[in-house]
Amino acid sequence: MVKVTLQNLSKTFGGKTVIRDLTLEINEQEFFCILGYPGAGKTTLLRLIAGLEKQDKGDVYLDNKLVNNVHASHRDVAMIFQNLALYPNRTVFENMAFPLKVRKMPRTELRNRVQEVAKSLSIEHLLDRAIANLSGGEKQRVAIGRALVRRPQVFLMDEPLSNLDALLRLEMRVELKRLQRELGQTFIYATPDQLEAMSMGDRMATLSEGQLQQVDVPEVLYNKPKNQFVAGLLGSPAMNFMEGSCRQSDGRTLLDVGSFQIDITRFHKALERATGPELILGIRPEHIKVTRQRGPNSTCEVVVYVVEPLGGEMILHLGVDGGLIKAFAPPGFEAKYGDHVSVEFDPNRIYLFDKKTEEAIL
Amino acid sequence: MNRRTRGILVSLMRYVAVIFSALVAIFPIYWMFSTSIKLPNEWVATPSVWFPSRPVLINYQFIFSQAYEYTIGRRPEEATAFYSFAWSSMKPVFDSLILSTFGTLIALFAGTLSAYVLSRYGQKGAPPPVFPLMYRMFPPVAIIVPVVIMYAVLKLIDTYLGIIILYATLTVPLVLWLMKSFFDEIPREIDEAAILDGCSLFGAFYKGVLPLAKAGLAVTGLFIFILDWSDFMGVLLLGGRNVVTIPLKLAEYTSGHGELYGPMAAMGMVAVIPPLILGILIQKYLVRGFTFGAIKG
Ligand SMILES: Nc1ncnc2c1ncn2[C@@H]1O[C@H](COP(=O)(O)OP(=O)(O)OP(=O)(O)O)[C@@H](O)[C@H]1O
Ligand SMILES: [Mg+2]
Repeated sequence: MVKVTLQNLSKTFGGKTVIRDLTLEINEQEFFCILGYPGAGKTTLLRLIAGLEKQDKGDVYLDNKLVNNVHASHRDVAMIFQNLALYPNRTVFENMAFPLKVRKMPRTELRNRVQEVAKSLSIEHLLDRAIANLSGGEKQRVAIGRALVRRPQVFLMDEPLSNLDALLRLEMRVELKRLQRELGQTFIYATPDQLEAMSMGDRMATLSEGQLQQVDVPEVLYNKPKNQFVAGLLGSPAMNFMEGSCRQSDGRTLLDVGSFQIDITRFHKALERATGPELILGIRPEHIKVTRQRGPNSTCEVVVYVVEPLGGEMILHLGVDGGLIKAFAPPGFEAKYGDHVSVEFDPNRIYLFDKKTEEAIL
Repeated sequence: MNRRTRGILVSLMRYVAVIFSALVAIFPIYWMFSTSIKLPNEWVATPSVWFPSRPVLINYQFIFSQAYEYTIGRRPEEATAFYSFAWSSMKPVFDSLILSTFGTLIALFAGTLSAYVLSRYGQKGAPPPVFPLMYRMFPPVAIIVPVVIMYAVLKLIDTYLGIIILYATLTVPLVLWLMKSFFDEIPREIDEAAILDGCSLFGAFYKGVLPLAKAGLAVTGLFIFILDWSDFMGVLLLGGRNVVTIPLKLAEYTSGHGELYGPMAAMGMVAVIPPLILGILIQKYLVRGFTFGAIKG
């Protein structure tokens, strides 16, 4: 139940900077997600907080106390590792009891505590089983249980659901969230899965090559991405990007994307921030309206390349200017390869990025 | 020839091959055993005696008695009366047991700890340490001379301590290499989880990692024990009067009265017992241990 503060944290491994001048404040009782592609430095960041890795520069505070020189075994932090790191030679009970045994808790109290936690994770019936005979989801719960029994100050979770199948993952997502609410503990959760991060996080951070991109509540990251990286990271399917350049015409500003132009005159204030006329237009698939006939507001005509039915909805891959964009087809829409259709971009939902700096302009 | 008969033929040939190699492996042991229960005139008879005409225990009685003479041609009944058991005759067995046990334990202790440190705290990607193995690459004779001189100065010649130290130092590098490869296969997260659970660095090793390396430890222990158990050179040069091991005793049977093959075989049978017992005790680890880590292949 503590606040975690990282200040100007840096870490290099043999000349390779893995965490770069990172400053971050994680509030108490918060479910905080760290989102980043593989290799972004998520694990390293968690290890720095846990004290398993020593930073080259910067400070780590737990509960406003500087812990730079506190050994990992005294930081009172629990971590669920990517590979779980359960003791394969011990039973479920022994695994969960281990942290308490190390702390020399009396036998009966220990037994009660383990029982209690096992019950809340619905793994009571597994207590005497060997780790080797458990399913992936059960192992996952045991790992969580081992972290829970000692009531640590902070929970660090490194892609804890990545080894589970899709259905179980959805289930565990809800369960972890519920657990965090019940415990009122600080959870720091690293994941490469944006859906996980957005659905679970009270706040989230996007990490790229050891650098924080944006830290905020998921809605803000989704609706107001700070740069092209964040915009492309969130959303499924990802945002469509098209390159274009600004030009003036009859006192209006147009973004020329090649086969079509978009009037961006009303953004002229924001456009002053751009470093040049080269911009990137971003639009999410859900903000593109696909119609069979060209209407008065249509942006352009496109050719259907791939039709990807997902049961309830359908994703169309559409050819524009030699590139592809993705859009959701309206209900009941039928299309096949080679069809000519029209698309309409929701003018209030377009994003503009500076091509050079990749920063958001709007 | 249809597929069925071909299948039967193949498996038949496979059995023949397995049985043949088993026979080849077992034959020397059988020969030792049968010689140990043969009468003297059958030891090296031509043609060979495959099955003793009359199994006797005199060879065992000989090695466990204070006999100074072994008269070939004596009738077995007389022989039985002649040799009576003497505790002092057990000395080589006890000495071998003491030296091998302590030598192995010390080597395991030191080697395992260093292996863990090298596995966990050694530089990532650094070449494995070769220097500890270097002096195993010399022929033992090459290093034994300086060792003898050193031992003479330290007054360790013909002492248990001296030979235990010799065994331990000679085998520590092997333990180090074997155990390091076992530790390398255990994920670091196991130690780290233990540390976060509140263990000290040593606790993480002792409570987290070591139990997982039990199979490796058992196999390494057996391997080192057999090495020490069969040492001849070391005890020949550094022991002899006060310290007499089984291999040294065996050498004594090749003198004076000619080759005493019967007692040699009997002593050989006795020498097989401790490693065999050890092997049976740790049997459940053996298969796992041999297919995992450095002794693999
Ligand atoms: N001990 C180490 N020595 C050298 N390089 C390391 C070490 N640990 C991590 N790295 C490097 O640091 C970078 C970030 O690694 P990290 O494990 O933190 O990424 P991650 O975001 O957790 O990735 P993933 O999603 O694959 O788990 C990687 O390029 C990795 O190769
Ligand atoms: Mg990782």
